Amino acid sequence: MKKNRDILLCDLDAFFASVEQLDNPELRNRPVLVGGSPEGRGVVSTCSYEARKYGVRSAMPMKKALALCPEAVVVRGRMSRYKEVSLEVRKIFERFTPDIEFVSIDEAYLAVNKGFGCDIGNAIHTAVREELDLPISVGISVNKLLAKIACEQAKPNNTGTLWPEEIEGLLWPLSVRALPGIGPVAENNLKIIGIKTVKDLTLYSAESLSRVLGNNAVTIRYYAHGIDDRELELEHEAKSISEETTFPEDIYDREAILAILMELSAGVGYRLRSSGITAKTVTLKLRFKNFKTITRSKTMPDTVCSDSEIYRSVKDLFIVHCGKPPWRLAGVQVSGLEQGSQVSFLQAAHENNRENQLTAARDKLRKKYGSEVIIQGKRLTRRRKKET
Amino acid sequence: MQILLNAEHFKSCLEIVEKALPARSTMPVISNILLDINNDFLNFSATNLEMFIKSRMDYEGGESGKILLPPKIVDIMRYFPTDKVTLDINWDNYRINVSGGSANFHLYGSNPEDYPVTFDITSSQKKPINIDQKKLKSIIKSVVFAASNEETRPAFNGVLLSSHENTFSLTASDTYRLAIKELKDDKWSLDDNHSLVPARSMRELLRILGEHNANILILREKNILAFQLEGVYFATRLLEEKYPDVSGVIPNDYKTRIILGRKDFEDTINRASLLAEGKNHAVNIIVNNNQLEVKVSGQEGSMEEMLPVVQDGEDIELFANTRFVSDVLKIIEEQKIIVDFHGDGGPLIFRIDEDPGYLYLVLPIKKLN
Repeated sequence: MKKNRDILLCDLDAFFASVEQLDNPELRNRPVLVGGSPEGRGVVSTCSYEARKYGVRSAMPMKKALALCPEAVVVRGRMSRYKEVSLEVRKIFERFTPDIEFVSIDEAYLAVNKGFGCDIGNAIHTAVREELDLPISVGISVNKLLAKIACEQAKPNNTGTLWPEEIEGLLWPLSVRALPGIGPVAENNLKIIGIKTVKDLTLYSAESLSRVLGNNAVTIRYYAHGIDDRELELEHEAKSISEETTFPEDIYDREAILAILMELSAGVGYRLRSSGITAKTVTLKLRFKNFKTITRSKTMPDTVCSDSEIYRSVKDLFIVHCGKPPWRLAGVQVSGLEQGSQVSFLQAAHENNRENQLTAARDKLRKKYGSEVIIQGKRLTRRRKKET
Repeated sequence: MQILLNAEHFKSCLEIVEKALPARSTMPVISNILLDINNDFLNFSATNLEMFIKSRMDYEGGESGKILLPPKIVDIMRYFPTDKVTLDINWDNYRINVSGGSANFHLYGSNPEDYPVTFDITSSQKKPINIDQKKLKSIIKSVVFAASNEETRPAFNGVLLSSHENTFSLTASDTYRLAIKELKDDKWSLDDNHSLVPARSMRELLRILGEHNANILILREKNILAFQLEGVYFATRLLEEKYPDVSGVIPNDYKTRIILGRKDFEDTINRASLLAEGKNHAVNIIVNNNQLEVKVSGQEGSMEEMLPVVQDGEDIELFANTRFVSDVLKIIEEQKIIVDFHGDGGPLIFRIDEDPGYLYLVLPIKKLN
């Protein structure tokens, strides 16, 4: 780890639920559960802080969550909208430093010049709140471990520090569970030999800890002292872009799958266009009832980025490789990515200007109002079927 | 039957025809080299069924016969120790003994009975074109690089030869760029006014053509085009695909024209390509105030360079593939190059003042944001 840097962990609080509360004011201050439907195999993917008071947690079956908190509002996730918001947040991060590790859609480590951690942490917190009206927590320290713990302690919607000199006072009293790599099982095993807090860990040699923690003992003991030399994994250029969805119930209807593939193609196409990329290869992914999964690809003579071109290839692949219903999952991936698009005169001759204009207009709408604002008529068949 | 040959000459005859040997084939007979001995000549032939090459060397034996030589014989001659080589052919079992100095090879030849003969159109009654081979070489070289190597659009794997009134033209394209060379010369007329020649064949022909001035005959019969030079006969099957009409791609009037030193431009583009990324190798080209600016910005860094130009027309900025640009700059020999621009999204066209019949068009890269 470079010594002259402060490390920030920025984590959007209850991100999906916060976006829902942002887009639908009537959900504000109410328990919101984002996830699958309670009838199917749905689980809670995010719950608002209001719902957490009732004991609801992420990854809990939706049925159980509703039993704990019956007045909660259940919202189906809108992944493409969350991605859009995440991109906005990312733009704010990028104002402060180019050195960013994006851990997930709602979490990122930032490396900034030493001594500027607090100022930048507060500035990010303010910018996200004022410009996007979203709660974010920022942990500030000198390495990933301490930044992460500082962030956990600061939550929700706040900034916090955990400097090396604060370890004794702030880190050591915490439960061992505060350290990454210690789950409920390890916690329990440590308890048996009398280790409850982080400070307790520092009193034992790595050797004696290894009986409980195995190979992790050395690392965890370092963690207990606040030492962590993991580097930030800075983002490399994406090699592919994909979207997939597992259905709440297996689908038997080919038309319904095609409607989903159209939706996924549109999502992938939008992401391509919004980062100015085109793709040469389109891949269809299908999972069958028995979990057998296939991927089938098609490489085009010219690069593509329009929803309809992607969908056309996916549809061709589906027709040839669809196998026997029912299907459990469908996905669309594009690869062979290229900045910009080399114009070909064949393409220029065939180029459907009306379609380009339509796509451009639709992208603008999506950017402003979210991916659901305008959809292809075909996708309605699926919705209608779902309703009946 | 024993034949004593000059080893170097024998080797070069084999190396000429070797280019037509198929990489792999479902037809075993064509993976061999045909040796046809008739009175005054040894004739060597090889074909991959798309192209056919025959080379010839003098021989004073007066005998005749045919045999298929295994392709290994080319390598054997590359490593041969002596200036003279003795071929001893047993016509009963097609065994061949290749010996000289300390080297002594026993090879299994085979029966030439099924060897295809369809490429021989030398007896055609049609009037051939007669041209200087150095000139032919430079004409082919000026267009063939633009043809596509991808199999997705077969017509663009070809170089189109066409004649119209007294203009003969060669066209090659991969749909992203287009090279056209026109000759105003009435002796250039082939019987059929369209021949689509595989670019692969053209590239092999280029390797065979020498730099010296010698005449070459071009023949066309049905779907075969043949080139007859001193000691070598080169024939290629024509592609049957229909070549699209590309004339509409070339705009009439430029919006910006610049004239600049070809070598300087080539060097700048080559330097820019060091940082150009991806398959598109995109660089930013800006014409402004009698200057050409070439810029790249990528993950590894950025560069920019300015060149003085003579500018006529409006300022322009676009992105283009460095490979496409450097491909033409390296084959042109003239000192100055003209580049025409045709507004936003329009093509770049490279021209040479000394040769109004030549043009090379490159379509730009569209930036999506």
